[in-house]
Amino acid sequence: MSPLLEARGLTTVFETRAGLLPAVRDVSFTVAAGEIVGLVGESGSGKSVTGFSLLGLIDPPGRIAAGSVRLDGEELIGLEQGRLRALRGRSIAMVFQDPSTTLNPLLTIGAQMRLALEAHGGRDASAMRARAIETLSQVGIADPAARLGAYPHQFSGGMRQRVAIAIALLNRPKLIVCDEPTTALDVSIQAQILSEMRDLARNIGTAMIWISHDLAVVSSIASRILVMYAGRVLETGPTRDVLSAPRHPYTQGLLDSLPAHATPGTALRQIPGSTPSLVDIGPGCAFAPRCARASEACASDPAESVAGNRRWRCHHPIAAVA
Amino acid sequence: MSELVRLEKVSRRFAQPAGLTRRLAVAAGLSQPPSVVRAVSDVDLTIRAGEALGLVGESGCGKSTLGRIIAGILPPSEGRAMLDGARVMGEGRRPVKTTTRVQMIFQDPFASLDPRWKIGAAISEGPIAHGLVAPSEARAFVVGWLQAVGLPPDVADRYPHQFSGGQRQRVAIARALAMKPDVLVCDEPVASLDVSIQAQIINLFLTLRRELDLTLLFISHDLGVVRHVCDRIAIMYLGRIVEMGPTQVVMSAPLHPYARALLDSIPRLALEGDEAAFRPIAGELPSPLAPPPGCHFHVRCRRAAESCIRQSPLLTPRGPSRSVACHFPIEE
Amino acid sequence: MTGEAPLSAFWLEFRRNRVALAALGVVATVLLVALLAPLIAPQDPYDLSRLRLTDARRPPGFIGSGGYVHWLGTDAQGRDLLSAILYGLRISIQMGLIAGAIAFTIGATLGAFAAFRGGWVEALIMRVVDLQLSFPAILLALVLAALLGQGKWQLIAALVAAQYAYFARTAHGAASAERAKDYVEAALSTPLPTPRVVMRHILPNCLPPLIVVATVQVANSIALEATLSFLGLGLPVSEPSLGMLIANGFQFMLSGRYWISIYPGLALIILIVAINLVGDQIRDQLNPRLRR
Repeated sequence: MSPLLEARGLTTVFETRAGLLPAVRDVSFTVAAGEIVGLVGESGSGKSVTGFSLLGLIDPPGRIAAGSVRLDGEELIGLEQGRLRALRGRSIAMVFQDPSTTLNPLLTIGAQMRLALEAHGGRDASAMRARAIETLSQVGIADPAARLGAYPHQFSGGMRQRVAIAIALLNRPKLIVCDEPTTALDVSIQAQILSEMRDLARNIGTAMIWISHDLAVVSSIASRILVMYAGRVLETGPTRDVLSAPRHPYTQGLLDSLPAHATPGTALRQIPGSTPSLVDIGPGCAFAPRCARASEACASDPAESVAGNRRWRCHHPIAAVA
Repeated sequence: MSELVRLEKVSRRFAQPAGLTRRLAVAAGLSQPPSVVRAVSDVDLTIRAGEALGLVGESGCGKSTLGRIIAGILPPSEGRAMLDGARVMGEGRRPVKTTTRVQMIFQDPFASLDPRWKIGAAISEGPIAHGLVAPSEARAFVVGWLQAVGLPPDVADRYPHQFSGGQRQRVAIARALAMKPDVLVCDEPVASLDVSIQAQIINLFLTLRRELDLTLLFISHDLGVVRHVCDRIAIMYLGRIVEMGPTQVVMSAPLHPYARALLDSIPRLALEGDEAAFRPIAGELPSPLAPPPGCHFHVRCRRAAESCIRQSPLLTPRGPSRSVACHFPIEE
Repeated sequence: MTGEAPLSAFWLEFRRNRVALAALGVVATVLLVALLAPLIAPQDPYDLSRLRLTDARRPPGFIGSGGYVHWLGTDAQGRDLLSAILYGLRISIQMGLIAGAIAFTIGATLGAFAAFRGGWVEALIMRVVDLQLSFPAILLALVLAALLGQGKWQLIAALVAAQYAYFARTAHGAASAERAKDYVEAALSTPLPTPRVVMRHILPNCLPPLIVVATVQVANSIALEATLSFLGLGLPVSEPSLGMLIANGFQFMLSGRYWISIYPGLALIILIVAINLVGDQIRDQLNPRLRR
């Protein structure tokens, strides 16, 4: 069975005054139908740009320089804008960190949902209304019929994000790209949305790409994980395997930085240095300057190693646990 | 350990700012007075010298307001905030802070440094103004503090915009510590930093706290960070402290249903095949403008009964070191 | 850790706009020429003993009794127009800068004070400012100039009164925004005295929008002064600014002696447009919403 989404060698660059910024470099991965894939990384790792690239939402001075993205067998890179717009919302949708960027403050929720349905061929008013109510209840909004008449500002932050998710769900997309959708929310609301999204993926078979900087959040929702750093996927594999026995020193470093597993009051095992500026990325491994295992070999770009369903890019990987 | 910080029945109200016309209309009886939020209500709290107290809760629970009251940025509307027996801020209609012994570190290091001041000048401004260092010795003084937070001396001649978030937070820490405070109020000091940088800053706090014998009030929504840094924890919900006690004990066996629910709702790194790594709290956070009567948590609480609606529970001691504000606390 | 001091970065970006750079060149040239007027003007237009009525109202290019070319012609008194314009610019710019500086100081202080004081003081100050902003500046200046009578300082008072409100409004807005920022809280919680925080932290950070307003307002007060002088409510005849030169030549416009009015008018337009172009570029660079 071919995967729902297949990205091959995706490369996105931004032209800036400081030079060509390689935000995403040679990223390849697949998403199967109904699967939740986590994309983790720190700021500047390229995780969000990867998400935007999938939907063709890269505006100048940025551009997709190379690679291919196939959704259900159809190539998305280089697709003309009209066709891409038709696919967006219908086959692939996106949920952003800040729902107010997607919701129109001047229209009721009901009107916005109707517009989203009409954009993809919705005609029958009562059927569209029924669909809107159905998706609102799927994301846990109580009394959805009454809430259709409300404006975005009448919802709390968590509820607004639910509405944004409901709008993304309206046209039954096969894939939803979620860019830090719970980062701005309180933990109790985050937990509610996480559990609802997990159920949605399970019940209606929507695949998701969950972009986050929070390892714990990703580990609780994604079955597979991609760890990104400086525009590159450094390690990928089943979430539990990667997090319990990472092969890449960066993944290990991230896990060690978390206070959750350290003895309280003791020094955390920190990664030295700071995240690199993308302008002066050299040809070698971008993590090498901060890596304890780095050697001269790291001046050259490590090739991808494969073992079973796990892949990593490192000259000196951590030995596999037997 | 002697007590250093003491809050007595501290409340803080915020009214929506009203313009002249609105106030005239209210005076003439033509309009309702603007609504008032009780961001903090009736909080009693002590922090002992050398202790690290974690203050946690969701947005709107009043933890930042409480931190600002202790730091002498906001005067309490009612009650007193005391440092070593003296008020943190003076009295009167426009109270000003009177002590340098408590300093604050802010969440966003991009906003907490004046963009027009060089790092060195920013660090030495307060100490020079208060005579802690002579202007002629400021340079060596600044370099010393930069070293203490792990920054090279040449940083002193640069502007904040030339630094990353983690480096700026180090500068902000140096700026606060250069005032030689006894108490450091840290408002979400690592929340806006990358994971790998968070660990560096947490380690810096641990080191400095030990070396300088600091008392910390550590405000955070990240319970993992609080567990790592703090000896004691206070959990707030809609302006009130609902539970307080030693961090390890509270986090492993909370007494208050909200504390339990909050702990359960945080996703844990799922390593060993356990599916339910978190459990959401039912219901929504009520608006702080109109909190529910009685115990603010009763609308979301499975243990709630009639009495929880009628009467708000007081924070009462349970054993030597813990206290909880609940009519029906979870039994150990 | 890259980047330059904010000022040199600002200049690097400014340089990229050729039009603004050219305008800045024009402003600098005009300022220099006005400053050096006594040294470079062919004639001292105020030395009445040098004026010959036989040279009056001569067209550009005329060689007068002084033996030099009147490149822009002469006016009704036989004054060399180029010299009169150079001296006129000097007076106009002087008035604009003095009025602008005083309006800046009064307005910015008032606005920042209101923002920091809050309460009814803020409400009162800002309502007065709003009331005044709803009034055309020219009308206010006219009334004041008529009431106060002629004279340099009377005119400056009228210009300041017409313009300080723009500075007050801008300073109030900027100071209110800055006041809410963490670095101000950090400074106050050090603690540092409030006046010191206002003067050394808040006001410097309010400068960008105030500088934009200042450039525009200097241009405006030059235009306003010219208007008042044109209407005969401005400076005394002994100190002819550009506005008075234009007024003096106005009666000859229809008789074909266009140059007496047109050239001072052109000088005024070039100066005001150039200042505004520079101001626009500064505004674009300082406005974060327009930044890429």
